[in-house]
Amino acid sequence: MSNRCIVCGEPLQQGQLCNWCKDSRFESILRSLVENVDEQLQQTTRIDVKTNLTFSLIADLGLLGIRHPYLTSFSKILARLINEGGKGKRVLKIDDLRYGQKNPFPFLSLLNTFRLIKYNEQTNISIPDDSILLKIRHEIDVDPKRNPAAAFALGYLTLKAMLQTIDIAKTRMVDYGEGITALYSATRDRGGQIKIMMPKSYVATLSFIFGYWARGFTEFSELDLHRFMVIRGITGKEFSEILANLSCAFATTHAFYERISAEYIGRMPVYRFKLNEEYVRLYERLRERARIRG
Amino acid sequence: MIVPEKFSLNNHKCWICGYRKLDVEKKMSPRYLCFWCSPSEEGEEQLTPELLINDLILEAGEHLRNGNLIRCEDIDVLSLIADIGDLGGRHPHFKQFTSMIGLIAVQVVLEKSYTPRKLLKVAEGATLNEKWKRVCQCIFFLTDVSLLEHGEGRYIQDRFRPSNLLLELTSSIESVSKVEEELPPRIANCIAGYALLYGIKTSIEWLKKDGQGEPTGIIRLYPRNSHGKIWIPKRFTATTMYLMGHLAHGYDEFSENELRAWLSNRGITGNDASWIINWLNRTIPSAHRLVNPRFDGITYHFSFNINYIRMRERVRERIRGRSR
Repeated sequence: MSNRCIVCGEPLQQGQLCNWCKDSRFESILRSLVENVDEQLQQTTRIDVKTNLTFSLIADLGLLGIRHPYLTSFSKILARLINEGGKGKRVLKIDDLRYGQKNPFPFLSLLNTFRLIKYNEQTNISIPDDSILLKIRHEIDVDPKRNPAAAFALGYLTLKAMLQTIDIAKTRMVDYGEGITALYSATRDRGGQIKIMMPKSYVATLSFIFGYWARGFTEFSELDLHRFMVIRGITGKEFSEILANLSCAFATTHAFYERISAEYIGRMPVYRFKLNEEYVRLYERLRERARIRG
Repeated sequence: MIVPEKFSLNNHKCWICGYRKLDVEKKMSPRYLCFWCSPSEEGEEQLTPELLINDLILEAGEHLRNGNLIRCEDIDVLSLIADIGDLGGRHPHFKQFTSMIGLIAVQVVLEKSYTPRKLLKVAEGATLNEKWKRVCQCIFFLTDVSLLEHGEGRYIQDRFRPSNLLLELTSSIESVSKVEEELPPRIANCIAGYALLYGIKTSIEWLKKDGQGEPTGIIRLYPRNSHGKIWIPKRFTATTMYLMGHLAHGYDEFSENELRAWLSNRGITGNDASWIINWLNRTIPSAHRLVNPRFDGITYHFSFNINYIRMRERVRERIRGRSR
């Protein structure tokens, strides 16, 4: 994992994080956001992603990864935990959480680290009373129609994992299974070499959007996104899917951008995105918070 | 100005920004303009670059005409046109014309009239004849943009005297600065910017009428050879149209990638494109307040001056009100 940024996948000569992801603004706004979410989660029983701005942002970030094929099994695990927890079943067998051939243990460890479940490397896991999975289930019961609360779990996990990764990378090498790498899958190629598969189109998009937001930019175009993605090896169909995801062409709609328009700057139209005004305000609040903390 | 016999505009490109059209676009967009400079499909209430320029000219004209001080720092419209003037003043071809406009303004301030012969010292050209042609170009251009007016004297057939607008605006220059020493650069840029933007407006109107007869507006200033071939000084016109267009379309920010892609469709690449980027991010010393440049780690990212964004909203509301 030494030749790529472990957060966004940019090829690197040395180090574990690229300049984009280890930018101080990126880290400080990420920390502020995660702290803000944690505080709110302690104070409230509902995860109201439709009216609470912070929760809405996290859910929107989670929605970007919900369709990614590498994350399908993790999404299914989360869905199962939310469902079973809602039915009152608090202890589940790990074997019931296996989907496909993917190893679920790093992901379960990640859930355990952030206290979504209790898992001590035995055959069972349990859902604690204060788990956010139960709050999500409660929220879906309250408002069952197209509720993006389930995506909140993935967004929350990813951001927490991202912050943990940045913190670990400051002191030592990040091992597989730690931080965001728990979302990556390890396979063996034909030569027997271990290969880490990272869901780049999710994490790189997240990194781009979050990085742009953290830098205080409110608008970007397809060309900016393309330049960022090409460096990380995301082109062609994969890039088109990211673009479709951001421009709400899929059924999973998010509220990131208040204006998505096609601009004719030359011979072909180029998508332009203008950030939701409410998220701009949230950014200002979080930046102020980071300033006071600093 | 006598148009050479071979003079003819072709419809392969836009004569303001220099966009090279595809075959389909030749049929869809106005004959000598592109979809950016003259969007045809948008509704009346939509703000287009052309409408924005028209409103800027109107508003700036009011400020210049009322005899108050030309406070480019406080009045957003004047500040914006001064920024455009700054760009014009740095263009290798337009530089001489902005200097001529400044010289005329100084002469009018001091003497209430001007002597065309004095403009020869800033005109570029290998021979006196060439220099005189440039001076004539400038005088005709200023007539198009209402800073000079055409009249007939008793003995002289063509007489170009300062218009009321020029006399009124120069009276306010007189009160703010010691013009006999030097015209303040921001005020000089403001007057030049006003003339150049007005020139673009006039040329767009002329091109929309199929470019019949003598060219008017900024096209008069385009360099041309003895065979009538015209070059577009795109580094100024294209940059101005990009900024105006982007502002008019309702965006507050743009990136270097977008600007480069847009310029490359107009044949501006390499050093010319880099020069524009450097001018915008003030790597080249300049006093404009158009954009706030920030480096995002990969490329430059520019945000429009918040006052200009407010001004755009004001213009948009005015246009919306007009269409009610």
